[in-house]
Amino acid sequence: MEFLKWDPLSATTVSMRGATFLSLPTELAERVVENLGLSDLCSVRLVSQNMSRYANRPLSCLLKDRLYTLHFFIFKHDLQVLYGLCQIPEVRGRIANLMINVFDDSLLRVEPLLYSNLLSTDWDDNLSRRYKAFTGSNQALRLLSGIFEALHGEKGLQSIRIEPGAPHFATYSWPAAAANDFSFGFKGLQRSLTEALQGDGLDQWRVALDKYLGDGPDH
Amino acid sequence: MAANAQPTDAQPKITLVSSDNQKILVDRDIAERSVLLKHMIQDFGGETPDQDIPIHNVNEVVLKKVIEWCEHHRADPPATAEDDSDNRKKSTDIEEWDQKFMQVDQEMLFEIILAANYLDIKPLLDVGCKTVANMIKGKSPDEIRKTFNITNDFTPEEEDQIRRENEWAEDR
Repeated sequence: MEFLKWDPLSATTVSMRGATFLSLPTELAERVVENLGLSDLCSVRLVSQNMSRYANRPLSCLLKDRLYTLHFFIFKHDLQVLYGLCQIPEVRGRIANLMINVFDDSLLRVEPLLYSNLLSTDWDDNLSRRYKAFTGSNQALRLLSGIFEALHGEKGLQSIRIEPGAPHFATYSWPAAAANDFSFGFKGLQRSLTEALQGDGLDQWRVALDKYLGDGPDH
Repeated sequence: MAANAQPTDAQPKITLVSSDNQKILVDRDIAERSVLLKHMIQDFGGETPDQDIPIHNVNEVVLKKVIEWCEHHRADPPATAEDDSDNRKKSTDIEEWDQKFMQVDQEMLFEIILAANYLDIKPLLDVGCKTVANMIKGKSPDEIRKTFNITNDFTPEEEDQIRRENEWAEDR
């Protein structure tokens, strides 16, 4: 191989020209900010137009991962959906955080007959009856057992939280739901986050969760 | 990781020519820390080239600094694709020698990053980028502007919009 004859006058010399952060090519500036956490990325976005652009993609990648949080309530329908989702390896492997709200954590340790005083009288009677019937049927524990069994060993799973909570606090923080938050009118972040989610096949997450209803393991 | 291997007279030498036309003689294994130079040498059929190799985009001062880093890290294992995709995002820890090496003025720091990118020396690029990231960490937007001499070119409305987006993001 022969090198081209080098002509110093025609060389594109980048050195000694007063290199600054803003003189870095976009991919290098992004490589720098990729090392930052969420709060630092948010600070960088407020520095200038260019810095904001550099931070958008790394921030979107960070947010995208955080959006894979599922928040369910212990109702028959919720647990059936969650159980069904956990049977799909592509979905199961994406779940980063799982939060399950129960009316009372006694669900996880008591026999069905002990549920009689579980519910607050303030809550809707019909809701209470449904909840009692479901939790008292052992199907809840069977579904939970199936869910935990399916998630066991998933490396992407960072946390499972089981907390007392009321049904109206239950929300889905899945990308499809998060995408709805863009009705706030976000622009800069919206595009890069949408792109990041599309890279994950966002459309496939838009399907109704009901499609994945499951009845739990057979016993 | 630091190098223990010492240069020897038996090492084949390569002559690099900086953008300001200065010749620098380096051991072949040091030159091969650069993926760009390694590929160039492979194109010679693996033979050590007897021609000078022009480094168009890097001047003598920066090139010597890059070679100093390569000499210290001459025995490090080569970077892998995995290093590039995962590990660099997980930490901004920089080993002590590299921290001292990067204690240079900002212009030199960015020159080293540009040179590492041009010469395709990913570990050095990584150290450079982490050093700059550490200069950003924990700073307010105004402090970042002062550190890097950046002008705030947002309108008040744009700044307000970004603040609202940030609030949304930090709630996630």
